[in-house]
Amino acid sequence: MALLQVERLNLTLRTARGRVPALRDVSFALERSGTLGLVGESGSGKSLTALALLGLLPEGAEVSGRILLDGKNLLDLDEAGWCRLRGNRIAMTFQEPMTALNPVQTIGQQVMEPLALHRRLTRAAAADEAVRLLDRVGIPEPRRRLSAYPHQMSGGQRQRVMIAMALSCDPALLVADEPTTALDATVQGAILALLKELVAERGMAMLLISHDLNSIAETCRAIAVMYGGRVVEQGPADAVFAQPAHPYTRGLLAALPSIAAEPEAVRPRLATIPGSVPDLADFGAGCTFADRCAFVIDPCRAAAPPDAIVATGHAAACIRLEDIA
Amino acid sequence: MPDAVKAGFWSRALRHRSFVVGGVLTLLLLALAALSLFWTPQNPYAIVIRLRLRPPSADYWLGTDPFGRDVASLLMTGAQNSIAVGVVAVGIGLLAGVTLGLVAAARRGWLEELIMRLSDFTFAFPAILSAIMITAILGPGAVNSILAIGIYNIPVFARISRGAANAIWAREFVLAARACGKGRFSITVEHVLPNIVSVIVVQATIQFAIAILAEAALSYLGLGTQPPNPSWGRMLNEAQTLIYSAPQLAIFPGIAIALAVLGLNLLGDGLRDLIDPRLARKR
Repeated sequence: MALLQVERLNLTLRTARGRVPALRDVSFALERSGTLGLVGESGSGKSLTALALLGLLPEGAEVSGRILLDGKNLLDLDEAGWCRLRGNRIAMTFQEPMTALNPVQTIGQQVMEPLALHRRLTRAAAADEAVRLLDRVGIPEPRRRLSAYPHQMSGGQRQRVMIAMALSCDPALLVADEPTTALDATVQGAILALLKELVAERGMAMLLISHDLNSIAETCRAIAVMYGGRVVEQGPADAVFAQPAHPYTRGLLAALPSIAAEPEAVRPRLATIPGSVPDLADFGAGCTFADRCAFVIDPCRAAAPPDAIVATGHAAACIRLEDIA
Repeated sequence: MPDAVKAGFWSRALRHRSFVVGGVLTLLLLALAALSLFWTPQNPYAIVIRLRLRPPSADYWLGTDPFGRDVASLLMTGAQNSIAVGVVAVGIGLLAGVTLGLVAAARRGWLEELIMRLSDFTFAFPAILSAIMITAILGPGAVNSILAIGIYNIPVFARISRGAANAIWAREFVLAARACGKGRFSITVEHVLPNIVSVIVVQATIQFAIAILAEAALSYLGLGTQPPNPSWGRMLNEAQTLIYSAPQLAIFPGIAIALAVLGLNLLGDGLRDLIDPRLARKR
């Protein structure tokens, strides 16, 4: 049985324009100690999916479907049940570590918080554990850093602190929401390498959310591509990168800049996907990518395309796979 | 108070001008009030008609009032009154108001609406008017006027703490704390409250000053402290008919009120700067 199984997760948000579907039939599975990269543009629903896994939905959100963790549906949990789960079985790190750490609490207080909460450690034991965790994620002089405040650390160090917090209770699943987006390019690689190491050494599963295909390619075994609140393509990372099936995934991969040693004249102009992500309220009943797709035909707009199998474990939600392959 | 704030707090505080000036004025007020418990230049309750309306002199430092009481002694004893009003009225407002504000921000929904509409309702009446209404219901007197000012303070603190707390609830570190499995109560106590303390402290010093003014106003209207207990507001009241013949009778309590209020406001400003750990390093 997979560790995490998300089945037909639907979520609507209350907005000024009425109820708007933000996630539509999102389904994916994550094996124990597996790594899944969730990729998509802003507004594609990847962060909402992550928050839904922790039951941290915005006010007025309505959710249906199933989120099974070890076969138990998390959507049946009450607030107390969620509190026991969060930071304990499922932990999460956030994109902007400056804003995700409390500015008036020390690093030590914040790393010790989940330890005291879920593992009921005493202050001294929690402090020792916090030092061990900070040391593991590569914070120099961890004992001294316990009394430091977030604003006294660099962005990379703050991201490391958040990872330490997330690891503190040995979660079965780590949800990393854009862990490298706010960081310098040189630090990004180091953080990804750290996450990869930790996943391997602790046997935890990781859901890595990113709009950066490169970081997912480096870190994840499986990938799910989201667009307009739907998973449009998913499968093993190698297969998806080698043979992208959905027009959106193809567009994303084509838009990746490559530093090839070609002369300026021969190098093709960087490809883009025409248009921009429409407002959630503007998606019709059909394929969410229809308006930007070069291969769109009338039936695309009529009904949501079902998943078509590309290869074993590799599926794409497009009715024209055979025509455009 | 966070540790980083404690570290070097006093060395930074002593270099902060408005904190020092405000602190000195406030300490002076406290010291005079404390001193008056044991000693005053003259007996503030002794009525000696023969000595009425004397100008300042060696025996009567600030002169005497129409009953021949020593103004300096009255001011010192009146300070007790002002401080008691400030502490109790702000205490009531802080305790009840901040609790309500935090609950409103933590629970949202109908409870927040209820709390905030109730405080809007209280706000709809001007402060002095609602204090007059409350003293009219409960009867005039020092205790009731304190209560009235305290009740008026509740929505002030409820509003400001709800507004500040809502802003904190929207911050990502609260989401991160929730992602760690913290409940609403512990997030409120450990994350929200410490982040809004500076706002509340500043508001408290301002409300303290307003309470002193309000007590003076209520006493001036005859609804606050009752004779013979001295109060700065009543001293002003009694001085107004003599404003041309003996202006010092209005000037001295006026100066006392102004200095106390100024001191508290400066202290509040200084504290706001000093409590914020992000500002701590820069100054």
